[in-house]
Amino acid sequence: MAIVPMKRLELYGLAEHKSSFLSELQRLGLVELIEPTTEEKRLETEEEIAAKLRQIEERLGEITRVLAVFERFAPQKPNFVEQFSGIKTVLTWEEQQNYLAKRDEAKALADQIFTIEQAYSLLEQEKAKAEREIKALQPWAKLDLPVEAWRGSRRIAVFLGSYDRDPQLLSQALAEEEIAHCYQEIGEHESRIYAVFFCWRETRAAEILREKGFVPAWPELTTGTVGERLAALNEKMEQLAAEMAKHAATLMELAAERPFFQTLYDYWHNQKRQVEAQRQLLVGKAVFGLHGWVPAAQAARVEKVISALKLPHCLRFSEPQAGEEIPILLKNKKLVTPFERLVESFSYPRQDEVDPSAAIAPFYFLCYGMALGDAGYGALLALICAALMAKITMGPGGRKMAKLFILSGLGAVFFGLITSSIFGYSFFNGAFNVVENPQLLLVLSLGLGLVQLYVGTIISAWICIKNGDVAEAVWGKGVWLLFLTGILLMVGGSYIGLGAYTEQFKYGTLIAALLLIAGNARGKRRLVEILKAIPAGLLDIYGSVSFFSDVLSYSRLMALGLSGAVMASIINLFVEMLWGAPLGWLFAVLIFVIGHGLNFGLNLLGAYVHASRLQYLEFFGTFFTGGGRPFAPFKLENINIFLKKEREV
Amino acid sequence: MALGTLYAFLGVAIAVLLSGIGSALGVSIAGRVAAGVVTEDPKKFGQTLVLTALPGTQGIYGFVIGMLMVFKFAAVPGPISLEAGFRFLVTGLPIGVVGLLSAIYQGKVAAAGVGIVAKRPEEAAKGIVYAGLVETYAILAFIISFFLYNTITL
Repeated sequence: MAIVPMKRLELYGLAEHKSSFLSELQRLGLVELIEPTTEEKRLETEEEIAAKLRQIEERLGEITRVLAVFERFAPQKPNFVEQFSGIKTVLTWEEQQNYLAKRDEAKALADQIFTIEQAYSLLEQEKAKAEREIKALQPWAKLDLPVEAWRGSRRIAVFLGSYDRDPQLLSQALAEEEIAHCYQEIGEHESRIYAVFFCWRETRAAEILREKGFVPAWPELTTGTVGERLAALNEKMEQLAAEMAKHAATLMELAAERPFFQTLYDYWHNQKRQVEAQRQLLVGKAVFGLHGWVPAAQAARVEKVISALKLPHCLRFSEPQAGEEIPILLKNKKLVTPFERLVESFSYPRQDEVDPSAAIAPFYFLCYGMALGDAGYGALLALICAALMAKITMGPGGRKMAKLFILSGLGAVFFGLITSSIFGYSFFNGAFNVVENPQLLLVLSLGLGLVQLYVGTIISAWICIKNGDVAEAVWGKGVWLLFLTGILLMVGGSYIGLGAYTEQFKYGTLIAALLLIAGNARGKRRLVEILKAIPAGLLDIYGSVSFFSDVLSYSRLMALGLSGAVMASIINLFVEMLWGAPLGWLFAVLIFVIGHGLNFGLNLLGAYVHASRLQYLEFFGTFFTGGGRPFAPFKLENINIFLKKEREV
Repeated sequence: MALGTLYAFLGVAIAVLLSGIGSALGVSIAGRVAAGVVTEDPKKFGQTLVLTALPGTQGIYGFVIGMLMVFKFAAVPGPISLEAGFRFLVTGLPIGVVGLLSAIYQGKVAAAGVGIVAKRPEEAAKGIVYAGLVETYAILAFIISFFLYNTITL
């Protein structure tokens, strides 16, 4: 249980050196900067910072555009794991330095990329235009009349257009008026029939056609036939496509430079953070001042690195003063560290609280083990996480999570071996069988809950003692535990062979209850106040209801373990049923893999959710509220790249 | 079919039907929102999948109870007595009804959790815990159904 003690750091130096100091502190990543309390932001520094930020933002914008182009032409496809972890480009420190050394080339390269992309976009627009034209001409594809002939001859008029019914009807209408004509269907498009009519000029043909609903229309063409134009357009499309493919290929080749731009992005991102950090400095005409938090154990290292700069400065460390909000950093023994992850995702402890990581570690291990409850599943989970840790580069958070699941998986192996359950099979005689003796499983679940909640109450008593309130620890927590134990013995004594003492337990509980009320009245002088304390004491006694409902909440462990075990045995039953049939082994293996895969996935999730919940609601309810602010040191942050080995400082 | 057998079969049907329907609805509520988030950011498939799968457990609980009941009366030939039949029927009720409703409501909480994944993916674990809270009552119903089942002798 450890919250790392912090020290306050004060650093003063010459204003002209402030970037050097900041860059060194950023590289070190051990100091959290404190915003100056007095608003002494001098106008000129603010302007200077804004100007620098603008420059950096411009570069970042350019790189973002380049990366977007790469993503468009050579998208990175995340695999299943990377969907959780995100894709990071792994670089060695040397590679990163090489990239940074040639950062002046970035501008030219980016311009080249933008030029090609622009050319590609133009081609794309042209292609879209050609596509539109082809689409518009499509209904007329079969019209082999060249543009020049559309005006008709001296005696024959030509009508192009579309009609929503059979053109035969138009032809009949013309025939009724005894107009000599002929027509040809060209094609159909969106349920309109396109046709061309040839009629004698100087007749009412045009009028009749219009009256009947023939809509004049013609393909947009300047010369030749529609067929010729379509052929030309198709040829153009092919050319465009070829050119576009060429550009796309070039861009795909250039996408090999992605790590370069990603490195640069991270570089400028960190520069931006550094410039932003200047806002947290107190800057005078000649000197600057900086306040921050540093883990007490690291103070010497900060001092060493700062003095190695050989710049005039003054560095002071001091103990935090009362009333200051100290950032929280957790540090525990190696085996407990993964469980910090659970605390972090709930809330960081406040500075006057204890770090509950060590307290939840054994209980989470057991809870998860009981909820998953199968040695096969547990081993599988641990192996998967170990393989992930070996294969993928993970940040510290990811590694913690993976280790947490390895330990949880081992919990399930432990419990699965006790109950002799390996993928639902029982190869040897375990201590008991979950499906045959669920009552025992329930008792174990509730027993675990009882123990954990007792431990929680004891921890809260210990916190009281640590804070100097021994009376509260004894009267509040101690008597409370006595009272709870009394109730337990009174109700359940007969089950553990203490039935003969039920009467004594009854009186003991009563005495504890009275003590609880008396404890509430302690320190009160006047009779009225003492009388007022009695209802509060009764409320305390009523609190035992919520205590036991918390214990009952642990029954979920039994339900999860049981449903998982029954599901597993049902799957195994199907497997056995299929095994004898011809080709049955194939289906048997399929059912085994898919069935256990699904059951494994769901149980894994359920065990995680419910084991966490028991810590958060039931266990933390006894002594932990949280609400601390996590320690957020000013450091180098990589968004796109992942360095294989952090540089030795 | 003897009346007892009918009731026993009804019990199985209630446990599996209702909880299955509930899970299907719950998963679909969460799944629709998840699909929307994945449209915007396909990289979030994994995280949203976890939340979407959560309301699926009620169906499993119902299935487990149903399966256990089937095993029990499949082992004994002949019709089932009226008393035992009623017991089977009532055994199916808690997990059936609570499974149905809790899965739907859990689906809604999971859908809201998908919102957390969309906006603050680093806090996704909290959304999972919220959805897990709803499941408590399905678990309690499962436990009661299971102990009721244990009282049945043929």
